[in-house]
Amino acid sequence: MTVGVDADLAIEVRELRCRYGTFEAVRGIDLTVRRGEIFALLGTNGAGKTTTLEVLGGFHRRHAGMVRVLGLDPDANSSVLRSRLGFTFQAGALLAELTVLETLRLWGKLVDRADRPERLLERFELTGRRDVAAGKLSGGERRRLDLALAVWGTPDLVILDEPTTGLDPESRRQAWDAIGELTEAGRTVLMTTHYLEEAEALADRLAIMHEGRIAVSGTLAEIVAARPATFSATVAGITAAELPSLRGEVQFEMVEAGAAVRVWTTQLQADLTEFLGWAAERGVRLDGLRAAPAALDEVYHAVRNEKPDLVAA
Amino acid sequence: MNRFLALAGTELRLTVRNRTAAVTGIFLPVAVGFLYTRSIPNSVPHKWATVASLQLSVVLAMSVYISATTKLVSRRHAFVLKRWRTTELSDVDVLTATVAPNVVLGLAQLVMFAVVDVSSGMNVPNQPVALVLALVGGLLMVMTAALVTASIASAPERAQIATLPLTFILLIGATAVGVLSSVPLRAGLTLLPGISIGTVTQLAFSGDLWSPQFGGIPLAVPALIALVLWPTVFGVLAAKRFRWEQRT
Repeated sequence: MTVGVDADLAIEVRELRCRYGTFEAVRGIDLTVRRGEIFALLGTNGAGKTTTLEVLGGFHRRHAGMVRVLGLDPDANSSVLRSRLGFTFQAGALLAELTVLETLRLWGKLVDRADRPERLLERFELTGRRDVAAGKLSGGERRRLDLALAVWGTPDLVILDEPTTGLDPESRRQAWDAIGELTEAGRTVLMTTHYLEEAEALADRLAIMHEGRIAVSGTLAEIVAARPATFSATVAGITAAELPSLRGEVQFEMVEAGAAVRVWTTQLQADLTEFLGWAAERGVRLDGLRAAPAALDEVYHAVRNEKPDLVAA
Repeated sequence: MNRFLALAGTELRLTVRNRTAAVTGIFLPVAVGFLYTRSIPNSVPHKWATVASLQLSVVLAMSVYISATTKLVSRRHAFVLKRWRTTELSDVDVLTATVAPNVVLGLAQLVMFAVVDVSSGMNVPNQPVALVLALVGGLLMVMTAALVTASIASAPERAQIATLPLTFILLIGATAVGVLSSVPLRAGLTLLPGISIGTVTQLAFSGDLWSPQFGGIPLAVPALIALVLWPTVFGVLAAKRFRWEQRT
């Protein structure tokens, strides 16, 4: 049964709550994922990411809140919904005794979506391992087989729980390409990851969860926009009192080579111009001068360290 | 149905491929079953009823109950049950397809025993329907019990231990049927899982299904009640307690 929800949304979640006994793993989250986008859910261990994915897949019943996945309530339509979803789990979830090819062939019989094992063997570079039992594959190969099952038949929505954990850089790049191909085909991807660079590279939008709540969400640009940019340099022969007056927060620390100056500012251009002008006027040398916009890892660490003032958009 | 058969067929192949599973679930019960045929002397009253009762209990306990429980726990341990839930198979289909090979192998073993027993002089049961009831009720009992036991066992190696109590009850119960024939409490004891299967099997051979015994109650009554009661109890418990993922 399709309910009246925004047709542009693949996932819509309002005030979702989920408990295990007395422990509340998800504590009232709101989440929207648009059709055709890659959405990354980041967070510390135990933040509630996997529970959220399991509720969306209809594997875990919610205790409160509204959830729509592809317009359907997963609690009431899990079997219909699963025909349109692809999944990877944190653990391999493969029959160790079946070979790679047998696994793919069996999968083809268990789901309605049509695909060819040979295509996926080639796509995930498993052709040479087709006759090897899944239990004898390396961790990376198992993960690639897991991904192959998730994208079998190009499902409308693919839910990936830490899909690249344990992969080497090359395999991770392949996985990223495969995920990118899904959105090129108009499909939606919701993924969790511990790799911030993965979220930065892949996600159209992302959210960071902490202790069952979403601490911050939006596009990468939106999330880091509220965070100050930084610039830094080492300057010999000055004291803190001699520094120019800047709009940002200045950190001054004496080191062997002189004074390490680091500035956090929301007005990077103005403060950097002021600082460079001050250095030129005094004729001081700025060693190791670096300027950088805010990065996702700073927001992530602020969330982890529970500094909501640093992550508020 | 095709999906169910695909998964059940794969599980059957894997059961045969896995040496440990093949020994414990196929060869051992067959060996024990044939031992009963050969070792119980003809002087024992109701010999073939006793042999059939023991063979049925061995198959139900070892080929179906222990094997199914171990398989469910190991599949859950490897997150494979969770994987199958992402397919279009229903939850019931996932579970029944996973353990279906154990039932098929158990039935095949019983057919083997029947052929050998008949060729060794076993007479056909007077009430074959009762024998079918003992088989169907027993299968339902051990299948639902496997789900409950799998809910308790947290790891495959613990499944072996968790299955011991019911295995003993089934085997000792089947053995005790003949011994208990003169015990006044027989009607009450017949409610126990193993004894109920053994009693119905024995009554199938004797044909005395509805003749009043202790307290005017035909023994078939408590035995048949048990064959319905235990699968119901285990089924309700399994529906409430079965976990698709191991406890972390």
